[in-house]
Amino acid sequence: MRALLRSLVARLASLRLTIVLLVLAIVLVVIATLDQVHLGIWAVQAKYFRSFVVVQQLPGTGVSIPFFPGGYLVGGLLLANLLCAQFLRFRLSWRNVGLHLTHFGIALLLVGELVTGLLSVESHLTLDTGETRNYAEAAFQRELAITDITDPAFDQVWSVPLSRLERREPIALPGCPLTILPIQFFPNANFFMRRDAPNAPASPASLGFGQQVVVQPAAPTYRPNEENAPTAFVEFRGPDGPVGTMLATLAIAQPQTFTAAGRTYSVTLRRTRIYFDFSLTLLEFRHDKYPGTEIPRNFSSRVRLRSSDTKEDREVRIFMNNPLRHGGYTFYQSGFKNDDRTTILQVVRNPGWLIPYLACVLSGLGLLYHFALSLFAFLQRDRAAAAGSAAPGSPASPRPATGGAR
Amino acid sequence: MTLLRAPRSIGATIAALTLLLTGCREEPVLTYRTGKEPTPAAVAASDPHAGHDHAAIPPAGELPPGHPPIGGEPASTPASGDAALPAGHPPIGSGPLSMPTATGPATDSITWAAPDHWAAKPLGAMRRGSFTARNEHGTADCSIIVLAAAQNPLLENINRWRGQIGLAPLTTAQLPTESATLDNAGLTFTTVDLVGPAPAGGAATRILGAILYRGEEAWFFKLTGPDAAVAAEQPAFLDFLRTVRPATP
Repeated sequence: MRALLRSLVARLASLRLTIVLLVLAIVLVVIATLDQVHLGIWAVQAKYFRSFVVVQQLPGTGVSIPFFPGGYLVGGLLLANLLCAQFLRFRLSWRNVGLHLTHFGIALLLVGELVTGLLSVESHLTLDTGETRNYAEAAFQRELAITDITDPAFDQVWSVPLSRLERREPIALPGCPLTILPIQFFPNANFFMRRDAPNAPASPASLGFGQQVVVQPAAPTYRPNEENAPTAFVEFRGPDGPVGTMLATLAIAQPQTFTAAGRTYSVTLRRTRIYFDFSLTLLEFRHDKYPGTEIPRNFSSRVRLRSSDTKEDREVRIFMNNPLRHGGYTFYQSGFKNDDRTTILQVVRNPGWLIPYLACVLSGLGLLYHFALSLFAFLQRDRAAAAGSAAPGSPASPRPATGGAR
Repeated sequence: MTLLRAPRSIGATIAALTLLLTGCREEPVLTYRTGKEPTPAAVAASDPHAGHDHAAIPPAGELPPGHPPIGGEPASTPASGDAALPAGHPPIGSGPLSMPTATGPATDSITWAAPDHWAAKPLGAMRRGSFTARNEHGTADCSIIVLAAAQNPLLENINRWRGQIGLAPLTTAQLPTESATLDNAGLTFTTVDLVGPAPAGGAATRILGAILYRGEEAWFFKLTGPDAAVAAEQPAFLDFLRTVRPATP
């Protein structure tokens, strides 16, 4: 076992592996950059860099195959390579402490990016003046939300990620008698009223507004100022068989309802919600301008923060460079609309936000130690050389003369 | 040369990890419990689910008020297929949402005042405002709908209107010359005046349209009908647009 481990570490520390991984990283960057023309920066980040494997759909088929290692895999193996080489080749001694610290800092930086990529979530909270919300909406993720609204006291929500709808396989909802069968899924779509398209094929929908609408699939957009309207026809099946088929789309965000097995459900395709254990109420949004001009001076939101256990109830002012940090979330003033009556807060949750700072401090200390050691050794040698040249009978100093009157 | 011969074991390891990690990509279905969402008081009374505090939910078979599909037009009749409604579901099209209204509903972000001679009509599933304008030349229909701005670019919607009356679509370059803007009360409308080809023995159809982008909303004001009837209403339509104001909180 020990021999196997030793062999594995030796292989991971291999310089050949370093070179193979660096070549893979270069190729990955090149193909991702080329694909950015088609996908835009966010989709490219997700597909190539924040993934373990790059999956590509075969042209003309619905089949997706893994075709290249993703950023996480290449970066992770590079990290392992760095650590194994570090511990295999550098001996632990006071002389090498600086190098160890610096390399450890770099490794930590890689880990920090991994943690950020895997765990950080970016979302937005839009609040009208006087409005209270206890959730933000994800910037990029979308969900099919099925909500059991029967109980007057609470809602039970099942959140189905869109990747599950794309697979068109039956989806069981845990603790719910319903099963979902995605019939059709379109990453983006346009819509027409059936009245305007009398020759359109019959709608698969048997429930809700989907019966009135003709769906026309559209190519996904990756422009930063446009948004896709992911759309799906989903069939709901209860314990007694099919209940009906419904159209769900981001373009029509309001819920539709149906009843099955004595329960009432609402269905909506929406931006994925991230719930807090506290709520924020917008008391006032201010868009201050310099007197006599239209030049903005300051944007700020005065909000009331209330925790669900009512232990905390306070007012907070959020403005540029002064975000609210609470419950692991950071709320930044991001935008506004509706003639300054609505504020948009960017909400970021990043459990690894401290890691890059720690990594930089460690690397900085390591470099400082290492250069100080080198400088100290150099000065010692310099002094020794100077002492040697000053001694009687010693050869002339090789150093050029410096200083002197100018 | 040994360096160039990348070790097979390394390649095999990377390939194996690639395949292994591909197989672990299924995202789970999450389930959680939340409190009831707050309900706008203005709509609560009209909702069949008011007892459940879900007033914003439209009846099955209808588009939600004010949130119609992209590029859509008002339905002239309630949704068909009552038989497909779940057992016990309230009938379609009931409640104050189908009542005539002369001004924007309280929940809208804008308000308007229709000309006195326009008759308010029951709202369809998609309309936020609906009027009939009668004059000596005929009858024109005025609709006000709101859609999501992000999915409703200007050119596509103008071309949709053009297509409805048999006109060829415009290109982006043609748009500035084929449309005009109207500024009023801090709101900027893009307006078009479209006349379709007259069918044999019939009158041409005309559309006076105005599109207003406001935050995440795109508002569509459309007066349509026989050419002469719409032409007679053009001053009234422009005056009507000038009454549109941001709603006061």
